Amino acid sequence: MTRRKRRLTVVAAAGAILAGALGLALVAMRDTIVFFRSPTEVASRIVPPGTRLRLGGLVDTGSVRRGADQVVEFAVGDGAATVPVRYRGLLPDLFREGQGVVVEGRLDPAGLFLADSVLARHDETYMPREVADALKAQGRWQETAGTRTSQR
Amino acid sequence: MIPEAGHFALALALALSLVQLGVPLWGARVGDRLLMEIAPPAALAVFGLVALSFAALAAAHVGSDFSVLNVSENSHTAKPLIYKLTGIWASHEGSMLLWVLILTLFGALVATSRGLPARLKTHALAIQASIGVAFLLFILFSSNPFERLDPAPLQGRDLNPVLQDPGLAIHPPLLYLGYVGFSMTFALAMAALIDGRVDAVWAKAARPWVLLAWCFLTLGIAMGSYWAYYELGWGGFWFWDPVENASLMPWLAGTALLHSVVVMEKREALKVWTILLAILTFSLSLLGTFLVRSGVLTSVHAFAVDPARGVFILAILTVFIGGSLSIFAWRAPLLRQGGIFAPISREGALILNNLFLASACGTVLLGTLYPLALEALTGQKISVGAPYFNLTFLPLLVPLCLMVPFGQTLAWKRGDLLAGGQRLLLPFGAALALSLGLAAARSGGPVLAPAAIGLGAVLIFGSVADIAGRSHARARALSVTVRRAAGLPRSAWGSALAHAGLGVTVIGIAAQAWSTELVISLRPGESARIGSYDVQLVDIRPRPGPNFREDVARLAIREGGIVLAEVEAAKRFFATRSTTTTEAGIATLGLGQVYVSLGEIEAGGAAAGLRLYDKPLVLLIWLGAVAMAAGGALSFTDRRMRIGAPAKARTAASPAAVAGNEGGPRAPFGPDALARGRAGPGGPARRGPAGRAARGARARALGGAALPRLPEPVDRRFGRAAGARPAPSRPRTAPEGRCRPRGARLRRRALRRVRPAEARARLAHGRPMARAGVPGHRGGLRPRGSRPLPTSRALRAGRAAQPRGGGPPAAPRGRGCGGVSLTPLQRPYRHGRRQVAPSGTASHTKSSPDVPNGPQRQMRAADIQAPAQTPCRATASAA
Repeated sequence: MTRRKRRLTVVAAAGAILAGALGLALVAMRDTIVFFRSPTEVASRIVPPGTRLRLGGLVDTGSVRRGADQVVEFAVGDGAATVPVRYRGLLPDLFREGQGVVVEGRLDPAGLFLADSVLARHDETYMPREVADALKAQGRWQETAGTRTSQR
Repeated sequence: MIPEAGHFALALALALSLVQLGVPLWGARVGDRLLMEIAPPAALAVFGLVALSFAALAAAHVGSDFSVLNVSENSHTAKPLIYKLTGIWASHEGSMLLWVLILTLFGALVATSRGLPARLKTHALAIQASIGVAFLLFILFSSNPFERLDPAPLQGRDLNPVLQDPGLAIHPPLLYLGYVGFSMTFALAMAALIDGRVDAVWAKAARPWVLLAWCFLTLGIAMGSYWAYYELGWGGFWFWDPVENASLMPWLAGTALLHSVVVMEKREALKVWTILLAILTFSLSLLGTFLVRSGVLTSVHAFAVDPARGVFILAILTVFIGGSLSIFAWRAPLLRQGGIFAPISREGALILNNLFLASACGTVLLGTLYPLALEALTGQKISVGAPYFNLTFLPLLVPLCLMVPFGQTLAWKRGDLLAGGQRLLLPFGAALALSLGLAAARSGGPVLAPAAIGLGAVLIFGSVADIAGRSHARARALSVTVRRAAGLPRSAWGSALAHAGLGVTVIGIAAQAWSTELVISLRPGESARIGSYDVQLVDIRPRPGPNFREDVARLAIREGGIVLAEVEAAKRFFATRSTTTTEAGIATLGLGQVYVSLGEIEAGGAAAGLRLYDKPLVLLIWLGAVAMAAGGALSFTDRRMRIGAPAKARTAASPAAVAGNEGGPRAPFGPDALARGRAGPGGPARRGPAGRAARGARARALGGAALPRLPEPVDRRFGRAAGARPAPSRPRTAPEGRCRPRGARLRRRALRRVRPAEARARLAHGRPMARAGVPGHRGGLRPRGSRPLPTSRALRAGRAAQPRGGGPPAAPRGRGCGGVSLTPLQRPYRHGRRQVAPSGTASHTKSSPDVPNGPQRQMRAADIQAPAQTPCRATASAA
């Protein structure tokens, strides 16, 4: 085994593994990434039902209804539009009306968002960044809601 | 006053770091030893100053000095003392101070360590200081923890309740010890590049630091995972959160580094790659710091965005990664290639390991940075979550895990896959049987879980087989095996334990496929069934805490009517921040856990929403990580770490340089240098490992006598083969060097050193070599099928060169006597780019101690004709 052969073997193995990893990554990227949408985008029906997406906005005041068997329904809005959301399970501690929230799941054909996870952040002054950006884009951002915090 | 003192100490530390950075580098450049020796005391002083500063911040926190902004934002008088202490690093400013404290701690450890060559140490400390300067500037200019608040508030804002947990006391320091620990290997790599000496000695010096950092990082990640598991109330142990990825990436790169540095230490191969990995590992640590601290991420750990800080850290990141890679690109081509090995060998397996780990790290990096890049470029927001990582990361880990046992059985340099495979039949068979049995027992369940458990079992059984294979004595009493096992180097045990730990973790993760989850609303007295357990809600009561009040649900966990455990799940309300946290109730039953998370409580405690999990074998996830770290620690205590690096005789001048005039111009090899080496002016390297290494190296440099206790055959063959050198007038006794272990290990190690000579012989003969010279193995030390040296061809050559009739008597005939036995050396054994330095200068040319390795000796007839210099029985017989 000369040095050149050895190097060729190593390079070939490296190429094969890297190509495999890259292929995996590309396939996974195509199938698994989840886009973040604002309620306005979702309400305008640009998202086909069934696609997985993240929806971020504020929980509409007075919209939270608790049903039987831990089912919760609420509406997520950004001032311009609201999207009804249904979720089954325990809500995070920081979930409350008027606060920012990010839900992940898919739309059903009727326009109801079936969430399988609800994310609310661990600080009462913290606003999910997507929500903040979306609100800024809508012109409904209030600086007081995003005061600086330096918490982990 | 105390905070100002702390602030001042930080500024002083910055100034002193600049000294530690500049002066030793200049000293090394101009060859001024005095200037170079400034580095260690400067490092110690910087550490002292940063520690003072940290103590000042601690005093402010413990004393609840709310005139300090950092304290008022993160503390409260009602907060328990432990959280006042851990609150120091809960905030951004404090955690950066902890970062720098640990950085300087490592600098101080390096300054006091005695195992490092002097120039390497000097350069490494200077590089380390440059990192310190960058982060001290960052602290002083953009996140000063001692900033005052005027007027001081009466009460603080309290610490984020999620962080009021013992996990905070353990997780960040461990993680930082790991993150920052890799700064040391980075500094060593840069120092080696600047110094231009990258060899086994470097690898030996760097390995303990890699191990140390890796152990801490492993523990830190595991601890963070467990903390998130019990604190966040989601029952998950890993969320593929960008911040978690930020700690996983250095771990993957560090694991690769840990393995490649072994190759470099043992075989001097993979030099360029190891150096690159050392740079990349720390770069990923810096990237992690950037991702967490700059607030570019949205995650459970996210901090509010502060652009100034982000840009500052980004600048640090750019300077260090860009700078180090530039130096790498500039210097790496100068590095010489290392030892040759076959693709199927321990080295080959470790290269594969590195490739897989690096690819896995790459996919994680892609998944973490892609959303950020996409958003920056197009404004589109995406999230890359668990599905992506499950699809990319896990398929890369499966072949890696399957490969581990093979790598453990393969020999260095040239392995026998078939023989190794035979030895692995039992562990692989056992693992297969286990997974098939599980699949049958749990039919209808997830298909992949038994397979993944089999994978974990392969790792565990493979490690057991590794230890057993090394210590098993065929047809001997069990006690012999036990004694051999006990005599194995600790690094062997450490690596077996770490790999088995990985297997344990894999099993723990795989078993989560069988975990069940139930979301239910219960009234007091009612019970629900989860897994094989009945969980009964006993009652719900409010209870006051030190700085919160909580609603506690008591639950009884039964199996078959017997109460196994009682747990409390709680919801805590912190009035200071009007925040609620969930405290999960966890009952550990064997290795599994029943996990109860409390949701909404109906008014008056009439009913409570509960989330119940049955998590079988979940503890294995973290126990495996602890075993990995313990394996690393065991390896760290190995004797090999303490004895000197196996300096080769080729560094003929280095003994003198190491023991005597460090940093000075390298003395040419000669009696003068030797004398200085022997009775040199001392210096730190005289004592400790380096000193021992120096003595060992000197012994080897002193001639063919470096292997005084070699087993007979070796000595006879190579010793005599070397005997034909011109006038070996050097003393043949080795000085008292205690650098070799005794007994069986002695023999193995000694033989390993002989191998270069053997390789030369093999190449000269052009025949395959029998299994490398381990006593008891087929073939022994002689190339397979070869005849005892010298070959008949050489003898013929010798005769042909001889004038017929008259002249000196015929060349002696017989084994290894006289000049004739040099025949194997007639052909140069190295090809390609290998440079052969003239003998008598400091050169890196690989050589064995007992064969002269100057310019390849083109033997002439006259040499062969030279009469034997040593009397020999064979001569007599030839005559």
